[in-house]
Amino acid sequence: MHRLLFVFYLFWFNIAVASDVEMHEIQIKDHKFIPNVITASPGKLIKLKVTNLDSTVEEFESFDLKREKIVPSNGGSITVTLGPLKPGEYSFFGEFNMDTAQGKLIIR
Amino acid sequence: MFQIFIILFREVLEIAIILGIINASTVHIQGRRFYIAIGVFAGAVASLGVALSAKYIADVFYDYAQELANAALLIISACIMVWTVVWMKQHSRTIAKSIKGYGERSLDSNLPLISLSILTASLVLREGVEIILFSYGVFASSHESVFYLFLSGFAGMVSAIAIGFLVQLGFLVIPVKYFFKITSVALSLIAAGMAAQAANFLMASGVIKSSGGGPLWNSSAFISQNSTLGKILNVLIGYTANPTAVELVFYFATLVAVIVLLKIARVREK
Repeated sequence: MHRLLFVFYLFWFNIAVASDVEMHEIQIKDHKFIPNVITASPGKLIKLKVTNLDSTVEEFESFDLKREKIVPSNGGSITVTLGPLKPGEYSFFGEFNMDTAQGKLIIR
Repeated sequence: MFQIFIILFREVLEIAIILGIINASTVHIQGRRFYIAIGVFAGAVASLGVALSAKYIADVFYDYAQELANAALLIISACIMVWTVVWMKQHSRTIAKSIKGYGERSLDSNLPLISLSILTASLVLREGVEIILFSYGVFASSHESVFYLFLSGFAGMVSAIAIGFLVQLGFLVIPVKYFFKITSVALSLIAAGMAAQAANFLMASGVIKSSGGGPLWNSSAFISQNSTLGKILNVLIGYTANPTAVELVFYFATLVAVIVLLKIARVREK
C-alpha cells in the first residue's frame, strides 16, 4: 500500500513539475519559518512544502492565502497549494507560535 | 500566556456559539440534549484520537487528507442543519403547540436525533484537534509556569462558553411568533458559512480548481477576520474578508436550497 502511494506521489510530482507549478520549501525550526520570506511569480500554481523540525506540532495558517493546515512535528511535512495569485504580499503564520512564526509570500 | 487565552477563546467560541444555537433552536424537541451531549463527547474523544496519531496519519494518508476531512465534516454539518430547518417546518404545528405549552414536546422520530449527535461531533472534532495539539505544544515548549498557562487557557475557554450561554439566552427571549423564522435563518446562515468554508478546503486540496480569479474583495480594513468580531461574524453568517467567487456560489446555493426545500416541504401533520 505504501509503495502504491509512493508511485502515485512520484507520478503526481512529475506532472506538477512538468506543468506550470513553482515549488518552494520552508522549514520550521525553533518556532520560526526558515526562510520567512518567499518570492514567487504571479499567475502560477505554487506548491509550498513546509517541514517542521521542532518537537511540537505547528499549524500553518494564513488569512491572506486562506489556508490552514497542521504540520506534524519531528520532521513531518505538509504541502500547501496556492495560487494563481495576483502580485502583492501575503502573510502567513504559525498559529501555535504566533509571536515567532511569521512569514510572508511576495508575489511579483 | 495571553496567546493561549486568545487562541483557546477563539477556537472554543466557534463551538460554543454553534452549539448554543443548535441547542436553543431544538429546545422543543424532546431528548435532544442527550444526543447533543453524546455528540460533544464523541467529538472530544475523536479529537484526542486524531491528535495523538497526527504524525502517523500524516505519513500514511493522502497529502490533502486534512483539507478533505475538513470539507467533508463541513458539508455533512451543513446538510444536517438544512435538513433540521426543513424538518422543523414540517413539524411546525406540533412544535408550536409545545411552545405555547399545550402539547407534549415534539416526539416525532422523523428527525433521527442521532443527526444532532453527528452535527455536534463533527463540530467538536474540527476544532478539537487544533485545540489539543495547540495546548500540548504550549505546555511542552513554553518557559512559563504551567499553572498560569493552564489558568489562561481555562479562562479563554470559560469566556467563550459564557458567550455561548448568552447566545442561548438571546434565543429564549425571542417572541414566540418569530421563533421559527429566527432559528431557521440562524441555522441556514451558519450552514451557508460552512458550505463556503468547505468550498475553500476543496480549492485548497485541488478538488475544485480556482480559475485564477482571486478574492472578489477584501474587507479586512473594515472587519478583519483576525478580530473577535470577525470571528463571531464568520461563525454566525459565514463572513470572510476576502471571499472568492466559488465560496460565494456555495454560500448562496445553500441559502437557495433552504428556500426551495422549505417551499416544497409541506407541513406533515394532520
